[in-house]
Amino acid sequence: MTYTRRRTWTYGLVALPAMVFLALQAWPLSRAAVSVIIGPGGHLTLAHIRRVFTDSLFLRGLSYNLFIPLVSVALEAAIGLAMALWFYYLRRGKSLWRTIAIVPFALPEIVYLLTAKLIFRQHGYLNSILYRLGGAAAAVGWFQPQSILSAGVIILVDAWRVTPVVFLIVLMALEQMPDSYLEAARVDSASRWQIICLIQIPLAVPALLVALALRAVDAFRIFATPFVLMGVEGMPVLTSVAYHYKMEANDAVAANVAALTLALALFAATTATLLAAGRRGGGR
Amino acid sequence: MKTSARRKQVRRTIPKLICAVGLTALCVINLAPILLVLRQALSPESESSAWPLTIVPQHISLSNLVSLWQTQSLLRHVFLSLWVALGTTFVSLLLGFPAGWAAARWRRMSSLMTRTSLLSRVMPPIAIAIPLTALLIPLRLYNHPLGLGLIIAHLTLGLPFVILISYASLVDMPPQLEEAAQVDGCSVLGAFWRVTVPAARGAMGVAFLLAFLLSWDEFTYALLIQLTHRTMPPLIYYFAEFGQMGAASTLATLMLIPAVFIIGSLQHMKTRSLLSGGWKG
Amino acid sequence: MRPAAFTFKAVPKGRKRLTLIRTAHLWQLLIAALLPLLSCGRSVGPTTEITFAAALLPSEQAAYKSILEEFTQQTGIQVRLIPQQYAQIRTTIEAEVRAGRGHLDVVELDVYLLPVMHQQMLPLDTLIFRRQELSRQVPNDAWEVCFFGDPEQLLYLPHRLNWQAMIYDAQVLGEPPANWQDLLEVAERHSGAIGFKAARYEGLVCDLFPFLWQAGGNPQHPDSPAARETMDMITALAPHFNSAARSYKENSILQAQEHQEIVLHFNWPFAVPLLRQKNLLPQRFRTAPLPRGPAGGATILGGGYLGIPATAPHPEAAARLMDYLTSPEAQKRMVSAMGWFPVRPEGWEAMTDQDREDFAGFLDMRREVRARPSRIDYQEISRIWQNGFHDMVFEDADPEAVLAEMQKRIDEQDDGSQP
Repeated sequence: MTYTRRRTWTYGLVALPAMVFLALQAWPLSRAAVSVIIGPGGHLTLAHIRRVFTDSLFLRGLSYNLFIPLVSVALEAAIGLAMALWFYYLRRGKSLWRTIAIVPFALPEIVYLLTAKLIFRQHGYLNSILYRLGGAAAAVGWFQPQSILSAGVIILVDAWRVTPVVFLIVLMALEQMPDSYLEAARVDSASRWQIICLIQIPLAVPALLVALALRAVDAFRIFATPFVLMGVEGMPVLTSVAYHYKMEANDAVAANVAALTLALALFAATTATLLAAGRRGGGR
Repeated sequence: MKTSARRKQVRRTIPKLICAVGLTALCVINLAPILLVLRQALSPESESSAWPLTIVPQHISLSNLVSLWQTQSLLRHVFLSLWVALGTTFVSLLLGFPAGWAAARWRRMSSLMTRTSLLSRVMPPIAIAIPLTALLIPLRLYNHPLGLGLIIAHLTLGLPFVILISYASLVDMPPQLEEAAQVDGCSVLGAFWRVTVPAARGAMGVAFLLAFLLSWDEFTYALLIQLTHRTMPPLIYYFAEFGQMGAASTLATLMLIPAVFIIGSLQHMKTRSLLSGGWKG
Repeated sequence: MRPAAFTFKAVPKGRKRLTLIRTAHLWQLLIAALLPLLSCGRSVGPTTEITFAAALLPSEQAAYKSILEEFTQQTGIQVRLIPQQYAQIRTTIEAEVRAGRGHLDVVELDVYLLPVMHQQMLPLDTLIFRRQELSRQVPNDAWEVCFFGDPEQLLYLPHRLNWQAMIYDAQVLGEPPANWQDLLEVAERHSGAIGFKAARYEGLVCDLFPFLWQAGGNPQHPDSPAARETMDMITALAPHFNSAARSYKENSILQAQEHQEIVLHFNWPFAVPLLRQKNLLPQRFRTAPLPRGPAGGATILGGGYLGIPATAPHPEAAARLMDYLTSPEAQKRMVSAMGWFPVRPEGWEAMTDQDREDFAGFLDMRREVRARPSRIDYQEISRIWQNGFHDMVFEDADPEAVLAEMQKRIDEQDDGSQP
């Protein structure tokens, strides 16, 4: 008994610094939460929250923060699944193409966004090509502040950057699928499309859902893509609105309100999903 | 007879053609960032405000690099990025690898560890960064010349990552190896140091490279915590904001060098089992 | 995997040694990487290095560094220049003062931040010796903002002065609009081509307040007939703004004019050398005074002021730099090298005739420069106006209601009851 207890003590001690550090993350958050509900006199107040929730910039950020991630995740699911199936059936040079497919995610984020800015800005490469083809009228305002087109550009840029993750997970799932299913289907003389639609896609869905769950979390806390490409006013999302409050408007409490709204929403969603997944079967 | 055979041949080549076109498009789109950034970095600044732009540069010059060197103390920023990334990686490995091992060996801790790491991953960086700056200021770690405040912030990203990787790689390793060492007279920690660490060298190497990349590329914390002593990602952002695309692209090219190197070396390592443990970013 | 092979005794000596050697190499690499960092920013021998944070544009940095090199040659003090936006210089100073230790020696602050930051700056009375001479040279209103406290202490020195004027496309418009009526007519003729800095930041206030003063209004009284007249004018003008207006700042609005997306906008003198470099001024664009309103003409005072934060490590060396930067020689060089407006009369001598023509719109407004309210909570007032502007212009809120709400918030500020 003492041997196992000594072992447990060792494990606990060894893991202690890491656990302490991770627990310390709660400290800034609790201070932020306190600053949000305490007024200058020291009493509880909802005035800060009310001030932020009546600000038009925050409300716009909220609506864009719901729209952009949903469409982005749907796009990533579609493209990731399609690419994984395509790569599964490639005959030659799989590893080379796989490496090329990963590139957008492997690059540093700011470098990728710099390229997107070079391409899509008003006097960038895309408009230069359109200008040569169609004259001055052909140039499009890709980064028109707070327009559907610019939201679409941001969704496209971000989804393309993140698709390799979904792609890799689904491809791994496809490759690990037992051959017996495919053999049985071929024996029954099913066409390739039937195999894809009736066997591979349904069996790949669990892996796809795991990948999408990961990406959904990251999509809702999106910051760099709209901030670097369009600035806070161009495409407000909760994270960049929080940045604006803190760094440009010098209002730390409002920044905390915005950031905590996002954090609470994410926590609630993650906990709900984990509980649902756990209840459905086994859990993680 | 001949026409039907030819029709079959045509039907077979069309998908191949579509596939080839698709692969070329994928190649062009995915490699465009690296090529465009290089193109912008090697052409003079005046070309980036010409209209309309040409994809092929008209002049190739190193003027961007030279002017960056003269006006910006380029080395300072590069070394700061390097130092912060190395610092984060070392501390993450030092604290995180044993923690992952403890979680792999002690079942009761594993769920706590994975849940805490998962929660850290869900947190939006900006929610921590804003109150964290208020905490770092009295500690004199805000806007520190050696980026110490930033290293602490990056640990919130790197530590859960390393813990998850080490947990995933060690959970499959049979504990009999360590037990055998303990039978031979090692303490628990001794067995860890002499048996587990050498055996998990591959996973540690991968964790080192990925954690380095995580800190090297990090943007949000660097933007908020380091105001005058900047690392490279916010610097690139500011240059791009002021329309100095040549300078921004030169810095971006410098940032790419370790990233490409690390990704290339990772391709040679077997990473399938480790990928399921945790993701960059 | 056979357990026996992995016992302690089985780990060969060679591998352990190799690991040790590799670790030693790694440490050597780390130290080598650290050395350059450690050697930066330290005083080596008798030469001191001071840190100077200023809001310089990337295009101005090379020219400004040559001015600083003159200083280094004269005094032997090295200057490390850090270009930063004013808002971030402010954040850095606040952080350093709260921590009790800092690295910034001299900072440049925008004129509207002077009252806000005055409690974090070092009094200059014992450090600056040319104070009497300067007080006679610098224009009255620009000199008054340098003093704060009770009894009044000198906290700042003016570095450069500027104010806004209109930059218009002479080829498209011919004559610039001279008053509000003309401006509306031009806007109707060129709808979608009017520039206005409507991003939610201080620049919006810089475009807005001149209109308020031109109607005889006061930023501290939004609930007044003059303010209502101003906002009626702005809401009549707003449909003709360029659709990207809500993201325009000084740089992006200038680029929009360069690319002929707008025909006129209001900006600071820095724009003139940039347009001259691209041969756009005076060939295509010209400067003109801001359109006059019912109560006459007005423009907004801007400018950089130098100060020493309370936590500066080298206050005496910092004061010598400030002395140099306000001297006649340095001011003349700033005028000729960067097209800045000088703080002292001798500086204007360095202005060539070509300069006088190019800056004509600015020079015409010299007597009509007005300063923003000098209050420690000025940023709150500015924010109230920024949010009110956005509500009235972009959210189509009722101007009467919004202005009344703004007045209520300003009154709460005055009472100190605003949370």
